[in-house]
Amino acid sequence: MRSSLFCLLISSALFSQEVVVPLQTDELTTVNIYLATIRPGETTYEQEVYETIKTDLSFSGKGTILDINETMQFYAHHPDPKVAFQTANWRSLQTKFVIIPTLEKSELHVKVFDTNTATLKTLSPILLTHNISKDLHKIHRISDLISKIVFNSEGIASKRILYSFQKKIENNENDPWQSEIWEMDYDGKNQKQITQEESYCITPTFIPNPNHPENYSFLYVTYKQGPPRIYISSRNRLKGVPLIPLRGNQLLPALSLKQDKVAFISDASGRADLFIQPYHPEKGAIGKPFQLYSFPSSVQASPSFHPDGSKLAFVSDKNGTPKIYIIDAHDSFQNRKTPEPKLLSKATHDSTSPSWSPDGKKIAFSSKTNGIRQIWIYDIEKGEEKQLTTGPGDKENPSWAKDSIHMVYNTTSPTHDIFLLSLNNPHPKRLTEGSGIKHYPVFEP
Amino acid sequence: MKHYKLASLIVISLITTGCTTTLANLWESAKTSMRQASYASKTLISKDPNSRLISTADEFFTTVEDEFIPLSDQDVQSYTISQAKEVPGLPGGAIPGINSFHSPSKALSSIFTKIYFNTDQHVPKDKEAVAAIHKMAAFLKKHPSLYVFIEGHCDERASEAYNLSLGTKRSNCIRKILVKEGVNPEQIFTVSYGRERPEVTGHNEKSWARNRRVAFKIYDKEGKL
Repeated sequence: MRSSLFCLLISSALFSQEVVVPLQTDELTTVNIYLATIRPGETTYEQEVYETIKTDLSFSGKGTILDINETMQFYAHHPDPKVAFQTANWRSLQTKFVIIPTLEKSELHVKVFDTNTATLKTLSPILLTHNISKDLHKIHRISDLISKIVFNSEGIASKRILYSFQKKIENNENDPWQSEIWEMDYDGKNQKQITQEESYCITPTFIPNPNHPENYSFLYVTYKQGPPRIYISSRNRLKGVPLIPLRGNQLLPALSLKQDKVAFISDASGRADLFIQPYHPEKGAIGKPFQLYSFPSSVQASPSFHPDGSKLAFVSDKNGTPKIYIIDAHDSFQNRKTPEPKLLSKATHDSTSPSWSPDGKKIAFSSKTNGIRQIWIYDIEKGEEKQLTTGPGDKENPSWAKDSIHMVYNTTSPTHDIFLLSLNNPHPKRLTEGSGIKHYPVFEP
Repeated sequence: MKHYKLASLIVISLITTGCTTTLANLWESAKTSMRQASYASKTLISKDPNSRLISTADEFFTTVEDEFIPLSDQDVQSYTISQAKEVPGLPGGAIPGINSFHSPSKALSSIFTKIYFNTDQHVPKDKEAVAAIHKMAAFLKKHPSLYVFIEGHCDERASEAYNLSLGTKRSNCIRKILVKEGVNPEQIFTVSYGRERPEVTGHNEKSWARNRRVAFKIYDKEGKL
């Protein structure tokens, strides 16, 4: 008995050592890339296209974009392909990939040359309007395709971010609080309001449209009727419609990657329980939602699906402090008993807003660390967790990008702003500024 | 002697643990352990830790119609009280949306008075709050055409998303008490704002105490109140 107690105490002491995790970023081997300037390169527009591609490729942190160099420029735009794509020349210049964009009338053509394998790939040309703000998203998509060839994983430059933007209107005596859903590009540009409910709208979730990525749909919570309810809308509609005919407060919706289930929090029964609504992208809600988890005197929050939809990470305060649990996300049949959720980690305390990475290997979350909410990630395979952010200011609501390397989160002090974080770069990039509360960001899957 | 050894072991362990973790985390662990111990003891004494709020299941249990597939556990079903059947603000519905509800007039502000809570609590403890709820219940029973929204608010110390859920706990607790007092559950709606709409914006105990609250908005179908 005494020896087992001793073991327990010693293991407790050892386990608690894991709480203090040194900050570190993943090690990377970067590749040298030469991005040739666009010929003739005389107009501001051509320079803007070049800068956009350069920024998108640099952003990944996986490659080094080499400086403009006369010799490389000479080879890249040489009319004779035997000279332009002479591997020995490029290897002597220590260049792994050469990217050659050209503008022919209104079309952007891009060639990508792999100097190691002597392979030349030509991307399908895209039609541009020569208005950079209109063309920006198309150029980001080209950058993502280049990333796929160069880095073996598609980039996230064309992925948008949805978020809630709250403003207090002082002269409105009836209800001074207004919040709408906004979108922005991955780099914080092109911020645009996409709901006009003239109400209080928060916690958006993407419903991607694979055939028409520009016209995606999204879920969000609006208070326009009084109790918060989950609404569905699409990018080109300013007002949405209710999704689930269920009484009470509906909060914090999350959609599975297969788009077949919506997890959410509802107090229909009188306490904040975890629910799942079967869903179809064209038909909407299918049948009745089912109660997945409930516990006396506790509240559940922030569900996030495993990419295959079989499991959910969520927050529960069933044992006091809010912590993250994992639960099976199926079994909608009658007479189900409450499943037993598995505690994710005992090392961190007061942990909330989990976000399961698209590769299924990590869960990002916010946890109070020495009195400040910081972003952490839990490695599912290793069973280890790592603190990602440091410094003052609470950080909450992480949401992974498709590459499982980048994520967005928002601060809640001293200001409410949205930041972009990379596992490869310890310095987050601020995406929003100015007055108002910008929060609950979510990356396009 | 045995006790002496055990105590020494615990002290050594605490010192070791204290060296390897932060005081804040140690305190959190202690709090969680105490809550678990408290929960376990209450479970042993009564059937459920919530039994102090609910006298019999029959008294409170109302069906949630046929809107969702519930869990079948006894504890899940027995201690819940479903929301009002009518969803306010539906086109053609009997109850309008929250924009038609208003803050209580001066004459009614002493009845529908804001209720404040201690940290981490969702049950009003002080006599004034309990008396206010009694008064409110009597008024609502006397005026069946009066509908009320109970708004649950939190302070800024817990995270934003978690607070959205937590806000339902306070508003539902007040609703539960009103129903226990005999108010028609169809007269009472709840809404959780979490920490989204603070009453005051300070970052100190005084401000947090003001923000841990439930507030009321009312709508009289007969237009008299």
